[in-house]
Amino acid sequence: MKRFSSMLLVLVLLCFSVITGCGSSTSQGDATSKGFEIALITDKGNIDDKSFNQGSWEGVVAFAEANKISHKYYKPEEASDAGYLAAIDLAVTGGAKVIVTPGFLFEVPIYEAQSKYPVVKFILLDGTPHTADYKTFKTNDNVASILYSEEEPGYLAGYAAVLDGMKKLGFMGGMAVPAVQAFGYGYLQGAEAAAEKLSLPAGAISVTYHYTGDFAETDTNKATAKTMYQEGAEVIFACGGSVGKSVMSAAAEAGKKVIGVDVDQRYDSETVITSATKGLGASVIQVLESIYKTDKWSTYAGKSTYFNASNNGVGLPTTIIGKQDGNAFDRFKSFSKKDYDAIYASLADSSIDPVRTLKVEDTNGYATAKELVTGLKLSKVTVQVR
Amino acid sequence: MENYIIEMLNITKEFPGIIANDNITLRLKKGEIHALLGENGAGKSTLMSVLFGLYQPEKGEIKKNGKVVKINNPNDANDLGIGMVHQHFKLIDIFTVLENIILGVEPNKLGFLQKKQAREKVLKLSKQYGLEVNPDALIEKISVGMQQRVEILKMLYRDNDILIFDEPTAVLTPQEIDELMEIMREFAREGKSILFITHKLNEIMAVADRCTVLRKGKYIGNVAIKDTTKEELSRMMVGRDVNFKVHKKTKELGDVVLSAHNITVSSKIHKNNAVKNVSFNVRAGEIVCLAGIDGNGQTELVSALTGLEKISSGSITLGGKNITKANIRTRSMSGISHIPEDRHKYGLVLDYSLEKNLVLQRYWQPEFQTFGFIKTKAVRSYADRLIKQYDVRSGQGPITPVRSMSGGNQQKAILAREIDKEHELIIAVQPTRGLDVGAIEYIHKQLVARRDAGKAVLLVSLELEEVMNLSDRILVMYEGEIVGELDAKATTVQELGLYMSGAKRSITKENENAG
Amino acid sequence: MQDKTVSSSKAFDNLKKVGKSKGFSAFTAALLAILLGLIFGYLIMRIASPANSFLGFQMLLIGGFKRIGDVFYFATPILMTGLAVGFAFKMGLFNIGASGQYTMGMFFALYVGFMWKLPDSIHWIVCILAGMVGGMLWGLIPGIFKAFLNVNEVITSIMFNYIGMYLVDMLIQGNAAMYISSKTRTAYLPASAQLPTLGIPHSSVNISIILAITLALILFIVLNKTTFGYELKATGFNKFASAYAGMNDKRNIILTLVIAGAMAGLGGAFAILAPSTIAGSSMTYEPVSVIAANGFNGIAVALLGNSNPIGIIFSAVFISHIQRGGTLASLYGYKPEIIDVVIAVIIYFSAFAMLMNSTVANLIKKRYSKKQSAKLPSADSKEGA
Repeated sequence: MKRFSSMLLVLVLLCFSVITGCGSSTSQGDATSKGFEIALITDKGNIDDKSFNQGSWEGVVAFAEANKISHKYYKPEEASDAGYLAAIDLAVTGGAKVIVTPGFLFEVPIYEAQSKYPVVKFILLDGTPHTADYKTFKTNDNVASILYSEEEPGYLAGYAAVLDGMKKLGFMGGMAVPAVQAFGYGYLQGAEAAAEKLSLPAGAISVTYHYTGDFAETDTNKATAKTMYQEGAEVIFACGGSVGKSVMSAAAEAGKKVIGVDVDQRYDSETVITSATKGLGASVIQVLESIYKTDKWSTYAGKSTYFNASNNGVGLPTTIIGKQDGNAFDRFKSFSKKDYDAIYASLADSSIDPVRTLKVEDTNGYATAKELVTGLKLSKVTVQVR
Repeated sequence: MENYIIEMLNITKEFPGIIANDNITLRLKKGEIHALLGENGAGKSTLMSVLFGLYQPEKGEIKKNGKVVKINNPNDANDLGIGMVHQHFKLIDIFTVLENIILGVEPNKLGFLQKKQAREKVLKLSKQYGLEVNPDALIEKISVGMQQRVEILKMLYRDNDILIFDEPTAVLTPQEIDELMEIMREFAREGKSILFITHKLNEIMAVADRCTVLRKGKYIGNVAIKDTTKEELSRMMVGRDVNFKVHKKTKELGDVVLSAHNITVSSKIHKNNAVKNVSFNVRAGEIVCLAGIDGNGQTELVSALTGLEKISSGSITLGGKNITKANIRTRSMSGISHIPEDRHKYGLVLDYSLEKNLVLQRYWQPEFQTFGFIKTKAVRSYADRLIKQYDVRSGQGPITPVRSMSGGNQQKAILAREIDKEHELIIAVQPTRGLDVGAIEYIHKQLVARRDAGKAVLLVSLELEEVMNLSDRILVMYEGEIVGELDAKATTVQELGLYMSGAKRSITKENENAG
Repeated sequence: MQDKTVSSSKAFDNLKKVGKSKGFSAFTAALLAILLGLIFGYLIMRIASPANSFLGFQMLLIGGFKRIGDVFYFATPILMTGLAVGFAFKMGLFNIGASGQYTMGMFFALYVGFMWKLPDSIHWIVCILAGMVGGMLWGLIPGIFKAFLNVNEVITSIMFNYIGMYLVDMLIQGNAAMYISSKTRTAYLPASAQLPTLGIPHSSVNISIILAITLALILFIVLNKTTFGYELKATGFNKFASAYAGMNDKRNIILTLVIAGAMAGLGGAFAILAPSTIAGSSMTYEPVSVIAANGFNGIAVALLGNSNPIGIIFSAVFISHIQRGGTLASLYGYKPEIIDVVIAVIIYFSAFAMLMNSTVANLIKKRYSKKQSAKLPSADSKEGA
């Protein structure tokens, strides 16, 4: 009993000291912790989602560590507009001067936050601030809205695949949201361009084009991918978040290839030959540099900026993490960095300008084969929609 | 100077609010069977727990062969050669007999179990004392009597020579009791010393050499069995004279209250029917006893009568009303009161208070509820009345958790509830099981009083003495059938035994006749 | 000197009386359990980042007081699922299906919110009731399976978690009025379907916490004052005795699971119908094939609350309090994931220790009685006599 009660006493004392100690040291606590100057708020996913959160966080970390700026990410308590706004509140309390918010889910919260915290700078990726009812779109001077020309990395992916000798391609988009559509349209145009370059006959390339209708790893998606591979597809551009996982596992079983999306997915699976990436990290770094180093915040402030080949905001991966001189094109048969640089230059100087949007009848945004062929002026490439 | 192997001198053990053992001395001679007699709550189990190292006494000392020893835990006791068969067996159901016996003292070589060696020792012991067991049977598959043998073998396996039996006969059939007695005598002849805890006087008279009597935590006395009588022992135990003979007035038989016709109940254990084509009547003003060795269908028959189990064929009539298909509550409302065999499993909600248990059969009646809300005050005053009327003793009165009450008082509570409820028939299944003499006497009186009040009583009992004492008419069950109907006044225990063991039958199988 | 010993022994007696009461022992056990959880939580913070562990832990403990509104807001759904688990547990049923019931409740509330055009004043009320019906339905089915086919409720309710989740995801994705496919989530609910806020700034806390506490009190009364509660608890304690007493266990099983389902369903409705701090916005549901975590958190809440509705109120608020404090503690440099681990450790250690409630209580009692009988034999014997 003695031992027990003394143990209890110690615990109670510990507790009390913690609780009473707080009164005297709250201010001290705030003073000692200088706060975190650059903050990132994750969306519904985790920080290691191999997508928006991770890609942009890597940019924050790279820039902040190089310049010795304190940085931190926050996880919202609730995946709702109010929850995201609360996380922004928390980040500001934590001393944030620049807040990075990856993804369109932050459009409404940023619209609120931009006037709530006029001295804090916001970098909103893949979205533009607007009200909940979509009636008012407004980007204040303390907000940089970053958008990506998805059609360009899509174009590069399709171009690389065909130039590498592939004839039968597949595309599996998630839902037909604008970003996914742009990736797909670019992919088809890139394939067409490569076929043109190789002087292939009309109809030499066939593409199976499919929207899964979700962004999930499901058995259905895997089965679809498997069928496409069985029908002869040599590579599938998996363009829809976790859909990629389904496609990769189907590819591993069929011994075929995958093209990843958003971030470099070569590390997820051996089957990924390349990825159509948005330069999330790179764009975050560029904007942060404009704030901290070049003093050119005004180039991004208060408007939407498209990141594309011209500002090195999109592309295929050219380096391998952890390998200084690794060849990021090693999974292609013949397509090389040289081929890539050549086509990238044409995109960068806008001598090639792929179509980003098409007029589509279907309310879900699912284009028909005819719409794709005529809209994208395809001749070498035939399209089946499934 | 007497040769005592164990002496417990002036032991005092207190619990908050109660002195369980007050200055108790017990001396055990080598090679004797020493009975420890006392009512429930007299302090027998506490004293033995002290000896077994489960409790430390506040005062007093324990000597072995004249030397003071300190017993801090059961391992110490084991080292001194003290072994105990607990009232509730401490066996692991899913282990085999052998595994249970060697549990804790597994012979091993470099950590590997040496079962063969153990098996030989067990087989040798079981042969030597006639304790036949199958070492590879799972505990959950063997009978209670067998499980007790395993407990005994556990002690022998550990080479214990001081053996404590805590209420060993409470769970046994008459035959098994006889066997146990013989085994105990054999142990004594071998020079082992036996402490036999019980409140059953017949067993003490039959087997013990000496007897120490406790009452309410105090030492009452020590007597040699050959110099004493059952009456004297019971006086020492209870503190007053006890009537063993139940006085019954002759009573005119009334109408048939319960009529069972061709009842068949399928068994949950085996493929055969547990109750086969049984028919009988119980009339107002008589006590009909269903006698028989445990497991011959009495439990299933009672379940069928009370509605706990469905019957496969036959019909049941209560007061002229067919209740074959009625549910339990309807039967209860129609006048069946049921004192169940297992009071912990069926008769009581142990985690409920006494008052809540007292209204278990009536809480839904308008007297105790309005619009689904329980009338707390009505329940309390009803409980107070029953507690007073039936002398149910407990620590905190109506709000006592039933779990904390003694077995006798728990049974009194059930009795009070079932008798006070409106009824025409009481079905009492082993109503005195595990109770002390005082409580048994009380319950017997109450049952007779019901009979005298013109109610029908159906008593199921395994104790021949109870059967002979209480009943007006005896129905003997054997293998699911009623094999004999006897007049209690005209029959003898011996005759009853013949029927119970299936050696004799006066009622032929109806289906055989039909066939 | 003499006086001192006398008074101390008197105090001891009083303490003993308090110690004997049942509520006290459950309460102390809960406190001890929480204490144990906190210690382990602190150790993890200490390991993760020794320098800030003290301030961080302090914030974790008291941070919630700075955000009382949020504490109650986030406590609401887990209070409801806690009731769903705890109430069924009183009858000996392990309702692990609170997640499915929660999701169904949420869907029904969403459906009425989007598809039914009702007067503003009653729209949200009907939404809540619809949510309740959804949860009831998902409690009813395992109840029927259990009562009539004797299928273990754990198995059915786990399966119905998945069935409910996939069904709801499918129904939502197939409904253009509710679902915005380009955002992969539901549209914003009309304001009339959202619950009235309690008006605490920067917090979504709303009327549902009041409803939830009221429901907990009602359940407490049902359990302790009604014949239904009497039957339910009797069955939970001893189903054989309840059968012996002629209680209708089939009806009671179904009724209990339906009520439990109603609670979880209401939890889902309360969560999805919460008002937003942003004008025109609302809660949204993403059909992403994930089982609602709040359902499982309900198990911890119920355990910590000892399945007692009043206890569940406190445990839900406590857990929410620790979570809110934890979010603030991340300001001391802790990664959100570390904080998640710490909170999970605190909650589950507490809940687990609560499971050991009786063991702990016995331990204390044993030690206590030993000391007492050693020190105060005379006082004791008097009391005994």
